[in-house]
Amino acid sequence: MPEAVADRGLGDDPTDLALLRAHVDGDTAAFGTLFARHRDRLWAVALRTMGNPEDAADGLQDGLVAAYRRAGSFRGEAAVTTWLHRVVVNACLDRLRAAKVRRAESLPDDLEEYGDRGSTLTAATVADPADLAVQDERRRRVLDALAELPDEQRAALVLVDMEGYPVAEVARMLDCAEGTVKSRCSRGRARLAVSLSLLAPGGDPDHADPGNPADGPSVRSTQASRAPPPD
Amino acid sequence: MSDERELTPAEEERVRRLLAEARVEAPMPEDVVTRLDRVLAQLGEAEPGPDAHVVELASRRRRKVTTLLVAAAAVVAIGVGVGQVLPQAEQSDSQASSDADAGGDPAGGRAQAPDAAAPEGSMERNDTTFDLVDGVPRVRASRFADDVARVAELQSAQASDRDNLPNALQSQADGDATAICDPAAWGAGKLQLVRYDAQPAVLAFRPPMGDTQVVDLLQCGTGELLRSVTLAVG
Repeated sequence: MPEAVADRGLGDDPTDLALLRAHVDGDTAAFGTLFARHRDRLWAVALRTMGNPEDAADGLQDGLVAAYRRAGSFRGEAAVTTWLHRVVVNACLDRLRAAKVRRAESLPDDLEEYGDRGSTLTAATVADPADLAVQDERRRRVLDALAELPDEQRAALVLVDMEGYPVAEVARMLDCAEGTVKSRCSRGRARLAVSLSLLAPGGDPDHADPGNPADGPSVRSTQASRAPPPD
Repeated sequence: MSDERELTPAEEERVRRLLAEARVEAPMPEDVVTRLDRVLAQLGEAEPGPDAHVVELASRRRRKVTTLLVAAAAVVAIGVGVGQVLPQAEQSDSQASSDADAGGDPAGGRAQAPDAAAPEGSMERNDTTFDLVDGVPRVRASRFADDVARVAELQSAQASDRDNLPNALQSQADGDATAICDPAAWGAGKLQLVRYDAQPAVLAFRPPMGDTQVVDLLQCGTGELLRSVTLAVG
């Protein structure tokens, strides 16, 4: 723990609120401690919202600076972590709106660039390379489809379905009504289901339509042809 | 096929499961951790501490306001030939994105500085995307990052043009600026008077940190942070 935090009598495990207040009061280390506590989850949200690591880092930095500078305006209506998510998501959405990132092409980049830094849980429980390949392909298809959604729908799905936050908390993060969050999630899922071909009978996201031409005769003789060989 | 049809509970559950499986499990990469730690350190250094002396703050305000006035005057002069000053700032987002994809921008910033080797065809100015109001650059909420990048270009150009400012323009700009923006504690960095949502505001270009630079939009009179964006440097 940074020395300045300990010196201010915050104890060994200060609450998020105590750290934020200490930061507002001039503790130069408090905000860093607070951010370090939540940075992995904020990174996850930024990465899935922005679609690629470079834009996620930019969006997260925008949010970090904004949170650092606006800490004094925090009124305590929500949890500090909810407020942090709100600032970061808004920074990401601002960036998306301004830059019109070409999401469809760049979104799956993290699979290659950061794939080898993936979770130890995944590495420990799935050893079969074939299974890993199927998982990666399925993940890629989901992320491709996610990239096609409107920004607000994607942000809602990232927070609710990927990160598992309750709808009420996400409503505070996105500064909208709970009904709006539910609607965005519902419409986003419906679009994903179409994109992933889940609505077709037997639809399977693991097996995309290969785009082969129409089949020939459905039943073919197993016997050798009696016709003369072609010239 | 409609993509708005309501899913059955089973279909919805399946989509949710796929999304959950695609969540990010990895921690924040070390390079991003390092970058953000550096930003935090810089923020700590730039912030006026709680023990700041009143006299120092007042003198700094006067100094910053003076800087602001000179900047506004330079903008008036440069506005005449802004088409030449801001050649590639109006590049399309796709162009900027392509530049970043090509590896020219390690920070991935879309609001990066123009490439001097850009073809002539990309030098056309689009008045609908950037303009000056009463000699002050306008920054729009909907295109914040793009507009800030253009102001940055303007700032880099004004250094060479400042010596050539006509006295009349200097006086006029001084009068406009003092009339519309009250001083505040802006913090460290280069300042630029702008209009944001039809209100005067100040862009504070913070000292660059490696290959990035934070730009804050501050409220006149209070110095309150309104928005912030990160630009690629160089």
